[in-house]
Amino acid sequence: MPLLEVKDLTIRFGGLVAVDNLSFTMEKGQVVALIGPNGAGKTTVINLLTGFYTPNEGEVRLNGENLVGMSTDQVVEKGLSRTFQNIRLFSNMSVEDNILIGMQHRIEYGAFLSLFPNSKKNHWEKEAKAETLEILKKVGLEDSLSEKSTSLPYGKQRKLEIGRALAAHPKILLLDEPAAGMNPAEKQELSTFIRSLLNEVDGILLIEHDMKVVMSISDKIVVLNHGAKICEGTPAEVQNNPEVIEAYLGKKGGHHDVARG
Amino acid sequence: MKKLLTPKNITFAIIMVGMAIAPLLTSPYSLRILITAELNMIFAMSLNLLMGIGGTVSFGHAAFYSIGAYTTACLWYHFKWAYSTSFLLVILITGLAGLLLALPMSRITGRYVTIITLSFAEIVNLIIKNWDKVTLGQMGIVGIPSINLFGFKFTNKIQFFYFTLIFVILTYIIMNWLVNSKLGRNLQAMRDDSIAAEAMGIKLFPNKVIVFTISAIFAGIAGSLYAHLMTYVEPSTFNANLSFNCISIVVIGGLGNFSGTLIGSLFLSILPEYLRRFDFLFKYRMIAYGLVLVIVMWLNHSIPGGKLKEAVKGFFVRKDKMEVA
Repeated sequence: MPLLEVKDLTIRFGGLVAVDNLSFTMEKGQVVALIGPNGAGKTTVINLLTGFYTPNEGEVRLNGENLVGMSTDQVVEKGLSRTFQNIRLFSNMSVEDNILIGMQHRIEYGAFLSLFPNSKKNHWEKEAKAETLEILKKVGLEDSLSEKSTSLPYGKQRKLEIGRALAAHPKILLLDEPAAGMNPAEKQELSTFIRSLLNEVDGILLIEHDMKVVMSISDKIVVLNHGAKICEGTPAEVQNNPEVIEAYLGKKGGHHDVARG
Repeated sequence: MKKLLTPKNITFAIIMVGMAIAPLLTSPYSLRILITAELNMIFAMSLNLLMGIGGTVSFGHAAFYSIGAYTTACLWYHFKWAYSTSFLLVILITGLAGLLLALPMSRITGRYVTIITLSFAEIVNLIIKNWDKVTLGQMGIVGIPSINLFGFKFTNKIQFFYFTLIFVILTYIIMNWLVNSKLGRNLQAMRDDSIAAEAMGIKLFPNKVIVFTISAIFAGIAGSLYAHLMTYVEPSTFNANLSFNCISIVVIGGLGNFSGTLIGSLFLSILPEYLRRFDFLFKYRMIAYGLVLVIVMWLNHSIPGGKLKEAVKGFFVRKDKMEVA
């Protein structure tokens, strides 16, 4: 049984078919990349997987269990956790608090016990804060514990967002363009870092525009264009697929031939 | 212990020590103003929980204050309940009112919240004005006795002052417990970015309901104390002005900053009274009051912990943009 199985996933916004009959699978221990030109529907796929959108048709199976129709908080509990294309940290909260929010669904005391000190609250807070420190060490931010999240440099904000997603103890981590806005050295480091995350999670689904990053860390690449899958395979297979080249660069010999130059 | 000695808590301690010795030094008139300031502290801290931590600007917070005041007044008038018993019903009824107002919040954001909270306060006020059998309508309820606590009657304002001070301290402490808990963190996360909060598995609606309920209860407690302080309640006291004054206190003190709220309360309770002295110079003291408010807003960073720039920005920029990135 595959770790994640997406089957015939379709969503329409009015007349626009944003994701069209998309199917792919992810095995345990894989990094799967979702690529495609701008507007291909990559982020929509992540929104569908995490319960932000409900698909018109299709299934999303995590270890065989269908996630379609679940709310975002249920999806988090089932084991999908995401980051965002444009970093969405909790801007007025500290680095520590951002991670604590990531693990909030595992902290088991409710609103009433929040109002006064009690042993259950103390126990969970202590445990959560110890774990926070461990996560911050993993993403290399242990020195910035009490800093405001938005005062961090850009690269570290990305790391913090990944740390926040990791804190939810996901089975699958969904990363939406993690390398956006980074310089080559940072991208190189990020690639190694993402690959190392496979020790923490069962699988990683990645949306990325930077081909160097995608090719170096992916086990499998799914290429989308206009919401539909045009190709799927290993990096080497995808690189040589004529349809992919056409989607990205245009048709050879066509009017807008940019590939020839 | 180190965690307790934050600048905010130290500010809080200094103000409380100052308040504790104040009755020894002031006239009965000033004492009354200080009690009003205490009530404003509880009232404004409850709003700050909703605005600064919960990220919802309520323009009708006076509704809960008036419900608290009228609950205790009506219970005394109709059933001769003492404060120690009516207090429990004040908590129950204002809590339910908060819950009621929170229900439409699952579907609306931004400016619609403003309209709903504003109209809620107006509706509550109209009910009070017209429900003659219970609230005595426009006449108001007069002759409410001072607080009677399990048979112990408060005979002077100094006792009342210290009793209210205990409530201020309790409110401050509970707010801090709340903010540094899972609930408080989740609320702040929703305030900063509701979409990311949702993506982290926070259920937005239940949290909204809880923060409205808690906030309403504390506002109601302040209102119930007000009824016993003034010995009478009438509908016109609880107008929109009361809500706006409360917002001013919160904004001057800094959103999410509870010790700042205490300073804001002192400031906005004492200033209008102080300006009364200059009535002979010019009759437009409210203009002076407005001017001072504007100046304070400009000098926001000179007030400890004032986060005014962000607060004003928060009013005009919708943080809860609805599109999903």
